[in-house]
Amino acid sequence: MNINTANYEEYALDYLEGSLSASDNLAMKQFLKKHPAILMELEGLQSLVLEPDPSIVFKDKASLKRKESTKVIPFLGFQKKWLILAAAMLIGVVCLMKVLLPTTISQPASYPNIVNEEATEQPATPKNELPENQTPPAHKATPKLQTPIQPIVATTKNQDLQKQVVLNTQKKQISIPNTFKKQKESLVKNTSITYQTPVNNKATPTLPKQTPIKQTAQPKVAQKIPVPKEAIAIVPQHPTKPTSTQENTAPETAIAIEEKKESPLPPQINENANNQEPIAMASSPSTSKKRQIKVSLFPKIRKGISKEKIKMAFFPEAVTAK
Amino acid sequence: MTPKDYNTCVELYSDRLFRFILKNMKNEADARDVVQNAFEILWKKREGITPEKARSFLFTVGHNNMIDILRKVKRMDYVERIPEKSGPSGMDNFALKELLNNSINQLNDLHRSLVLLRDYEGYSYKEIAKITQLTESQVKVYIFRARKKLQEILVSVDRAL
Repeated sequence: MNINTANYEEYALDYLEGSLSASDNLAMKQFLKKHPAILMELEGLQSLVLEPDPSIVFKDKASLKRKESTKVIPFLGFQKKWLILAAAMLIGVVCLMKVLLPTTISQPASYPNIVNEEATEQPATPKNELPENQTPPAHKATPKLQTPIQPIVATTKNQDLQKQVVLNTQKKQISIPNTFKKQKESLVKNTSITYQTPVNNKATPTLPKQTPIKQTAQPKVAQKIPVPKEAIAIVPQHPTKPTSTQENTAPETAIAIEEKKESPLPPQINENANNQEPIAMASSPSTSKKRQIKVSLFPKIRKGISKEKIKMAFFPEAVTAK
Repeated sequence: MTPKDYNTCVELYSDRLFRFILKNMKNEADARDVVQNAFEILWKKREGITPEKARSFLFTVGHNNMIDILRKVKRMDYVERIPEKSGPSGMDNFALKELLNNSINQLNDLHRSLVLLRDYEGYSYKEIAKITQLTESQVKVYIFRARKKLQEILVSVDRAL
């Protein structure tokens, strides 16, 4: 390292402090030997070291200090979001239940239309399924309707009660317009499925006596309810699908709910029913009204059903013979 | 750096920073503002600063802030100087220190700050270079010249006595 008058200042302090390397220290000593004036300067500089004044202090240290601020977790905000979401989901579920429950229970009311359409498309019924000798001519079409009727029979225990319920609903729908109007008005007020007709205790005891169906006459068809012509068109529950226990559960539950929930019906409705239809007295009025309510939800379906169409659908041979 | 580390830095470096700034600025209020500003910035940037680097950070911020303020003050020609004492009563050791502390005010800003950083704070030349944004060679040369200046002042005072 070449130390000269131009760069000796850079090495002077390190030389005084003794932090120069051995080679630099030797070069610095050789330079100072050549320049004794500079050596004199350096000797005086060793003592010139400033010392801090301890009396000078910063008085407001407390103003500089900071407190350890605990991190505030926005728990409330986080919880709020979930609460709002949960509330929204709950409301949605409740609304869905309200919307879906009546439709699932009243679903059988829409089946007659499907049956009617299919019946028109496939009027011919195979006679091979049941022998003619065992079944009366009125029940010739029952094999065709095995699948629609079967669900009720397979799922319910009280067959007599079901038969009458079916008959009662069909009779009322077809021949009792006065009660239908009243029930339609009441349905507008109470759209929920829980609206039920009262239980007519007087009518139920006569149930088995007034039923025209004889199960003994049709041992094979007994499992599938033999229903009169008028009842066949509306009662079928699952016309398109074959018999299966899972599919049959829906009508059963619907009927079960209807039987449990009973509310008093105005006496006028019962009177009308008694006057116009003797069968209606025998059956439970609660189920019959329920059927009427469901049908009233679908006026187009009800209009589409007529005796002629039913006959054409299920008994084309008799109609064509006429 | 945690808040606890920050408070430790306040305890350790606030006096030293204030002393360094006050020696350079010669105005206590300005020096206090600079110190507060430096610690404020340290608090804001504490997440990225380790406690070991806090001291260097404080002096760097304080030095830069001080330079800015000194430039403004010079333009405004408003400098409230610290009242200088009348002079050394004797040339004993205590008197020599007093004279030396007073004579440092006669240095220019850069030389003064470099000498203070070196003598007051004990920074290495490399650290001073980082704080003042100079090269290490420049720092050594400037400090050497500052000491020569101080020596000349002391010699002149001694001759006057």
